[in-house]
Amino acid sequence: MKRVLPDNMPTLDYELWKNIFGPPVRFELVKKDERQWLAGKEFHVSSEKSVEWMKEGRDRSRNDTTKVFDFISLSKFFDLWFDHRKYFEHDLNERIKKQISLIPGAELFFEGEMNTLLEINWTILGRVIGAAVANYGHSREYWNSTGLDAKEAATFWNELKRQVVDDDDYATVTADDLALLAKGFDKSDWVKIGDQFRERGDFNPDSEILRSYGHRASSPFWHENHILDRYYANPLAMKHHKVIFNKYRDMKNPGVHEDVQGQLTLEVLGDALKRLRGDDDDRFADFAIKIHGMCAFHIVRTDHKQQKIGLHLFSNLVARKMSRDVGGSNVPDIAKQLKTGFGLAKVLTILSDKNHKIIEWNSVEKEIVDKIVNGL
Amino acid sequence: MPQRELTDFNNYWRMSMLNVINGSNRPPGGSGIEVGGIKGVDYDSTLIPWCKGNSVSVDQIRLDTLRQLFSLLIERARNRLTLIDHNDLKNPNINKGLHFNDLRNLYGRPQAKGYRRTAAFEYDGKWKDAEAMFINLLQNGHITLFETKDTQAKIIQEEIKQKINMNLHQTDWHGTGNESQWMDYGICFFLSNTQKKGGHIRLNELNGWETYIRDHWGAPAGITGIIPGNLSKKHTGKRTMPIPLHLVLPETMARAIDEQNSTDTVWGKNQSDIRRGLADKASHLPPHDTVNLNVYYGVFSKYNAGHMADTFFLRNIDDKTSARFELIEIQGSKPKQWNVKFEPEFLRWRINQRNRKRNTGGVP
Repeated sequence: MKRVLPDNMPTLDYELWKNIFGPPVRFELVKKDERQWLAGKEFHVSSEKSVEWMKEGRDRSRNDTTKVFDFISLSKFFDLWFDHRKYFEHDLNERIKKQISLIPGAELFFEGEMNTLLEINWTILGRVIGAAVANYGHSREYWNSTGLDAKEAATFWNELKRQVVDDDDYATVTADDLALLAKGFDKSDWVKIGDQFRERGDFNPDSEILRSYGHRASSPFWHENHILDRYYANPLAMKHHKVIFNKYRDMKNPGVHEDVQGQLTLEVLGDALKRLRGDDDDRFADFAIKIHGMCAFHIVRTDHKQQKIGLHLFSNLVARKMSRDVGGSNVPDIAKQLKTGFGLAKVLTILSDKNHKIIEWNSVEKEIVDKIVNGL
Repeated sequence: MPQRELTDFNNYWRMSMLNVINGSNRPPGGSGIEVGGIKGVDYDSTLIPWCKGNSVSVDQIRLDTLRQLFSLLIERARNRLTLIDHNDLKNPNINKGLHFNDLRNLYGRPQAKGYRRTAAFEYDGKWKDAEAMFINLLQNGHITLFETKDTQAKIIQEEIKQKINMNLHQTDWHGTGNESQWMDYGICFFLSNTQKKGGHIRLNELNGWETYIRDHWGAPAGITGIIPGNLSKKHTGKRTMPIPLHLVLPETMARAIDEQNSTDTVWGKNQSDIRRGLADKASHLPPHDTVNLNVYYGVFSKYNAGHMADTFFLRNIDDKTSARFELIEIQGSKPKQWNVKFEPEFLRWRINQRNRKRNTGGVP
């Protein structure tokens, strides 16, 4: 049943967005109090059944019954990245290489795989965002799901570092973890840490080794079994770990580290995005390295539910933008397909929060949308 | 369907990797190489298409059990071949195959001690899956059993094969207590029984695996002074066989085992249906490799997976085995329209399936 676009013509999304985007501008920002009002209304209902995202549209606000449809799009900061990646590839490549040469162990880790550093792994980034949103939403008491993947990833890296530092005869209390892990560690450390997680039935770190086959830049580990049987952690993941930890240290009354992992991850992503607006020549290379680190840090992929609000919600926006230049998608059609049990308004509230601004959330009067769609 | 795909794999493997005349390995280096009148392997006709059709994106943990086991087998074989290329076969640390302890390290004890939700002595599902994979590999000549460090267990191997063929192989997983009596026959039992003597399983390098390992990790053809497939140096450039078939095979086995055991949905079935649907739609109209984007979305929605349609365009960033779908704008279309073009290897997978159906009188 059609909600906004006809079921057999979903590709009208391009023309619809073009018409809405203007000129004249026909959309308006969904403001903070409206977002909170919508988030508060949605309780334990799967997105395709939520009354907010039906073909009838929703009330614009508490006091305004004008019917509107919601539209979401990637934050404009991402456009800066897409454009730079497209038009300044050579320069970007050189700058990334320069930065990599300054990170201990990075040249070894990316040997022969430097080209992967130019490409963001959007599907993994989607998973990172999904897990972070789930974790963050839990801390706001939006839902019961704790964002286990984000929590577990943090626990794993903490324990791995401890394990390797403990087993290194030359390590001191003030040892640089990044430099220490960059040297690689042997199989016994890997098996020991893997067993801890396997025995608990949480996840198996061995499955993460396989990620290095496809995209080294975002893969957490690399196993050199060519004569030497050593394991290497992605130095960019270790850098990300440091950033997260520093942010955690600066928090007021932070609570348990694993419980605020989602919030910290979204803030780091938000910082990286906002920096793209600056005038530092290295900001794009820096962005790529930060995103790779964030993806590599995310090693646990067990929770299917989180994939809907991250992997599919986010990476669908990316795919449509990258491949067809579709600037935004209507929420009713997304809600119908996504069928997520997380309250979609709550998810969108988190994603559009000004502290990280991963998406932009606008609304358009239903009447205008219907008129455009009927005219296409 | 994964069962059928496995049968296809074994046929394709024999045809591609082994010399038809004497059943020996083809030389490494790819189809452009010829050594003593025998050509290298043509991966493009059947094996790469098979990988493209069978690489599914499901929860990795579900597929992981067998993939790890197979990765260990292939890693050990690769290490052995690497040391051969280094003339270093006397290396005392060399571990040539998969031992009982490897299984225990990976999966824990085969029988439960008895927990809140698990009865004492209940067999662990991962061990059952491992046994099922070993049976399949042994039946198709992919593994060899060794009763000591270097002695092949030819008689035992034949006995096990016979029992498998006579359907006498363990299926009901009874037995109590003692770990060494946990099965009456079988390969896990063999490993358990011979563990003190050094019993192990090796990948059968003579059944094409040496060539695969050399083509996947070794030097490609055309490097001056280096024999194609040589493993003595690390090669980071283009590979003769770029697709990690050794990952797709155990994943497909995991799905096949699930298919045998499962009463409801098989892992990845939806994705297989979607792929077949897309390839069939493309074949209906010239140029036979393209569908309209609306049709593409429609096929995903038909199988209740509309939310996954766009993600598939990004999948090949981190999954080398996944099929590549290219989006092409239809020039001059109003409203703007796009076509999705499928890579030839993906379509060949479906064509090979159809040809097989025709040849076998409609077996799906």
